[in-house]
Amino acid sequence: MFIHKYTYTSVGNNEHEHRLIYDHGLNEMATSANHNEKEPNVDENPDPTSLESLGTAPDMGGIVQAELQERMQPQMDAARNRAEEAQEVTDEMLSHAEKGTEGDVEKTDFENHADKLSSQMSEGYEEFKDAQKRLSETTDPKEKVKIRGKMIAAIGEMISTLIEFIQRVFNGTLLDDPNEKEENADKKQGETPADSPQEGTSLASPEAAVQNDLEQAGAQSPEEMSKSLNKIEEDTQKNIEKNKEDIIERNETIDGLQEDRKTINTSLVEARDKLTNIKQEAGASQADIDSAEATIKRLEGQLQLVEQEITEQESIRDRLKEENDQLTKKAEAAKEMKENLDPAIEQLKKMIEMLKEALGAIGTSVKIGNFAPVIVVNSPNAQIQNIIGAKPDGNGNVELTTKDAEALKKEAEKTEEVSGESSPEDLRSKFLASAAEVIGIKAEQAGYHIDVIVIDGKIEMRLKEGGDSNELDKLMGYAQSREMKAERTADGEAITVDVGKEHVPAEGKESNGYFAKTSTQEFMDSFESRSDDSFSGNDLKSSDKNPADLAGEEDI
Amino acid sequence: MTDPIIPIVPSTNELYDSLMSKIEPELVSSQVPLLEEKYKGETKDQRAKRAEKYKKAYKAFMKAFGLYMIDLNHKIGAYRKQAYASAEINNRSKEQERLTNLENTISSL
Repeated sequence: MFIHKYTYTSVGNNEHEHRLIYDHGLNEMATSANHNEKEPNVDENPDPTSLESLGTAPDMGGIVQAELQERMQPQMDAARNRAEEAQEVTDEMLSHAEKGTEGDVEKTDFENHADKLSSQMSEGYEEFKDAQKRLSETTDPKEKVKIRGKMIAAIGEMISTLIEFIQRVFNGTLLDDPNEKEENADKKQGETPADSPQEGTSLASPEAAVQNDLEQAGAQSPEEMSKSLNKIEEDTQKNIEKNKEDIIERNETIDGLQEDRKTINTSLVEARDKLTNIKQEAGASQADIDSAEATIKRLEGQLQLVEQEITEQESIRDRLKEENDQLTKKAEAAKEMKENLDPAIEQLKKMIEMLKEALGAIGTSVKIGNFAPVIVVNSPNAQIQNIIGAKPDGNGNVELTTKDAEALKKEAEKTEEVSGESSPEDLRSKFLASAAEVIGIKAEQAGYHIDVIVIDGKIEMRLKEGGDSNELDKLMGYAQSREMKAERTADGEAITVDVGKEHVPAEGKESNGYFAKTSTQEFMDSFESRSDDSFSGNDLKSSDKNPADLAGEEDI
Repeated sequence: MTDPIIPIVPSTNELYDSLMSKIEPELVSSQVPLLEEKYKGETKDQRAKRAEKYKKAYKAFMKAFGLYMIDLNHKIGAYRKQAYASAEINNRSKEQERLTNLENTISSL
């Protein structure tokens, strides 16, 4: 409710004080026009005929027009605001989606890419967490759409940042100044093992050669990657040394051959002189001439063989020299990568944890809205898989895509139809996902402020922002009373529960929820669930929950 | 889906003149200041009749304005609905494109 009080002078210098009361957006307006009254009573019912009374004085048209426009103003402002608000929201959604796709180079205060990217990652993570918090607080569907868009954009930003970080580790530009032009980086980034021949002597770039070796090494972690780089550098140095020895040997061989050639040449000159002398001597026998000519021919043959051998040895030696030039660059590249990687490992670890958490929050969530993507990150490149903690799909496929809940469901059904049976791992995953769903809903119903997700084969119950740590103690107690192993996570903000199985009740009875794998039937049958025990699962089973309803809940 | 076009909301003055010109042209903004001079010599009866005419005009105006606002709010409501839907589709499409680019980047590493 707004109250406007204003004074203006109009035609004929008549002073009018108007009090206009209106409810913004409700078209409810009441106006009183009081001539020559300084303080009209706002609590009195406004006179609805005041406009008409103004209208009876035709020379006051200007005042009436102003009055009309004052009445129109709030409604039109409201209409304009509604239209502009929709435009702003949609523009913001689109600009956020486009963010990061533009090639603009921003000036930064960071000294190197490592710091810049770490900061970028933290920003993405904070954006995600902030959006996650706001999503849990809002009930407005439009706001939810907007927030989910921001969450996905934040994850995209984080993945993109991590990839750039890893790329820069590989191409040795991680510690470069972000404000400098990146001609070298562009050149290096444009070359990948896929573009390069597999032979070590003819790789397109030293960085690609190192990356190729890293793939072969199959490092399982950044630390192992660091060790692999060390080994690559050492092995490369060994190869350089071996080549050097070979080059020295070849040079010695060439020197020997050149000596031989010299000797043969000398002998050849002598043989030719001898032949000339024989021919000039009177009475020289044909046998002597034939013998001298045979000697010359033999020496010429030897000379040709020696020269061929020299050419071949020089060619091998030059190739070894060339190879050593490349190997030296490769060793330098491996050294530089390692020098970049070592200080970056801690940064990289933090970044991976942030991304894992964000991906986990989406990928393992059971409440998947139509707008929420499931992101599966695979790569045939073993380093990338391991570094980002992605699980390969078994076929070496790369998958990084968005799928809505319905599509996932259809795909799952299709897979089951084809295979006819699920592996124990698949069954366990499905069971955990189902259990997390039920436990999450039960926890929400019971008023706990937690998110329930599946991480590393266990159910994790993580406090939402502002949640009370006592809730975790309580949940841990319930889990333990059900013989399940429950532990606080290292950061103290969550518990992990080793949910083993769901109680299968006798006919006509209700399930008592979730228990440890080792819980006996008798124990489960006799267990008494309490209303705030989120593991009770007795009134909501995953099989009862329609996936379409889940999608309709518009929550992640 | 084509991008929705935001309905144009005119200024108060523009709308007043637009609606009033069809009801009582004498009362549009540009004419009001001239009325005093125009009707300088009118009699009391004539003045009363004119006042009555204006009174009706103002009532008609408020009715026309009410109808206009109903129509405008309807258009804005439709725009908002379409804009949100369109933005969501565009947003998803952009996200998909971006994720595909990331996939390509990963596979090229």
